[in-house]
Amino acid sequence: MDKVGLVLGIIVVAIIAVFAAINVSYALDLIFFIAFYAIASLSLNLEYGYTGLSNFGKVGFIAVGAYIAGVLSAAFNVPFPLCVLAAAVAAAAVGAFVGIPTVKLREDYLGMATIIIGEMIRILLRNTPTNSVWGGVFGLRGIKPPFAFIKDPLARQFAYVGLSVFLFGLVYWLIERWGNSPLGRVLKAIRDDELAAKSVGKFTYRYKLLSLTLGSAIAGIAGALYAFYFLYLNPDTFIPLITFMIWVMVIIGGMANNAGVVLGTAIVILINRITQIAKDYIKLPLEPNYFQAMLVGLLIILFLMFRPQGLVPEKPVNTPSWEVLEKAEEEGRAKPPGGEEQ
Amino acid sequence: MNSNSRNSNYILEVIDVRKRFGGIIALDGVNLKVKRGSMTALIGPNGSGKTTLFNVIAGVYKPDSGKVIFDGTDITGWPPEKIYHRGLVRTFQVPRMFKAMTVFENVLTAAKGNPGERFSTSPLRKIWKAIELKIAEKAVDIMELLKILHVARNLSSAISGGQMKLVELARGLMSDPIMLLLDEPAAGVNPTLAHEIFGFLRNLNKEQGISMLIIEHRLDILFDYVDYVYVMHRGKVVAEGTPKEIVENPVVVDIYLGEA
Repeated sequence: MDKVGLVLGIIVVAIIAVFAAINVSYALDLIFFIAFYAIASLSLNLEYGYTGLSNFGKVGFIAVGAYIAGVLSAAFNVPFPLCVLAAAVAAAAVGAFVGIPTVKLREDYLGMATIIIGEMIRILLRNTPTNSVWGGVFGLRGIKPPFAFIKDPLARQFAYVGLSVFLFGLVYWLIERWGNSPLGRVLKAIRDDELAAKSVGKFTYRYKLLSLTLGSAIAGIAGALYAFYFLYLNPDTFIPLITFMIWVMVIIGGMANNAGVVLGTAIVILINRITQIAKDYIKLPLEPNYFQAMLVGLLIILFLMFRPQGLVPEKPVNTPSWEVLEKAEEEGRAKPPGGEEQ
Repeated sequence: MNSNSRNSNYILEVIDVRKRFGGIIALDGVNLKVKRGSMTALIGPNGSGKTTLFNVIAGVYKPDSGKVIFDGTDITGWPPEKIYHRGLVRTFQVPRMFKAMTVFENVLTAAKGNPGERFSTSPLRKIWKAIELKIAEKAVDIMELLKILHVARNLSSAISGGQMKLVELARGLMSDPIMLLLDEPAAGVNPTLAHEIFGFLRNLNKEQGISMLIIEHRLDILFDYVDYVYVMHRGKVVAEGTPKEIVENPVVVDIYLGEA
């Protein structure tokens, strides 16, 4: 990783350490949020950063995962791991269903279609009878905590946050592997020029559909983790603002760079937290929540103007192929054609 | 190539292809045939329908009527990716790079049959490493041949236009094509390099037996290399013959002088 990323990463860890020294539970909560959002932003990175699919309905897929996991646990006593699995499968199914007609759309139209789908999911959950199994506008209660057998609340929280971080690690590993393989090249090729990708034989529709489906499955896992952390779900939690925050994380962090996206996630969440704390101490001439939104908006504008590649820029796809190139260069085969300057 | 396994003398046959965009008739019943193993040129003034014909052959557009037969297979209406796997590869008039990727990655991406390109197998390097290394060797060889190995690490958006043309050609060669459709392979490069490119294409054509159909405006250079020429005008083939015949053909002279 390059210097900017490394320095900011150290700062992030240091800030979390300071919070941990003051209040362990608060720091654990912070870590959970970073892990939850990082899983979501990594899934968007797969879809947009690598494949160029502008999914503006991310929150809808998180909601599907959260509600499937929540309902299975609350109403049917399904154990936690199965709930997470079901959340991933259900969100993937919704992703595929949405993707079949929409991934052919141009980037901007896909954005419009998905933002509507995200809202439709929330409105559907909200405007169903309150006696339905997910509780309609009243929300869903009674989700069983997976670590109920641990009596000490702090230890229980620690166990759950630890599990969430572990799942985040798995997702990170998987997307990093996808990205640094011949597959990563194909996805980026589709993103850069779909017609050219087709012209070199890539079945782009299939790749785009799979990318959206798998990205949705990962968002579903994030949703399930959310459900089992709060043990209560309300449709109005899943508003488009969540999607926009995830986009900000990806843009700031660096598209098609997973480490950068995780860093971007941590930074956005820390900015949110720190401004939340600061508003108790600083008097502002305007509503602090608006100020927070303005701050994030300013951040996007500054990044798009001055550092569009994000904090940690995209790197070439890392496969063993580079060793072959290196060897050829050492053998002196990579000479520019004679007589021409290059 | 398995050139003897097919009975036809022609690698590509375009039969009465028509294509209109609204009120504009872009292709008005085009007929042409490319001999197996030949280097055939397609010329004509701007707007005569050459690139549209390429797009129809390569599957970007579906023709309104007519047929495209490639290597004995009716490929009319096939999508571009399927046509590529059948062995027919095209390049673009304006090079289309995977611009945020390096030249090396651009070329590697075009390889066929890499098992690491699946979501299921790509996380497990063991499965695809050996094939990936072979593909990389091939990519290095092709880039060396085309004299773009020294820019392999550059972003493909940060090389010269002529080099981009060569990257497109390198991508095309990665799949061991049966036939290449080349849309102005030497546009925007100096005459020396243009001769070099055509000389190289001629070698490929002779040594590897790759058939070629080439759109080119620089007839002075083109005619030194090709076997046969088709001339298009207003969506139709109006003349055909050897370069010598074409140069002397009054219809062709008329079209070109009339345009000027």
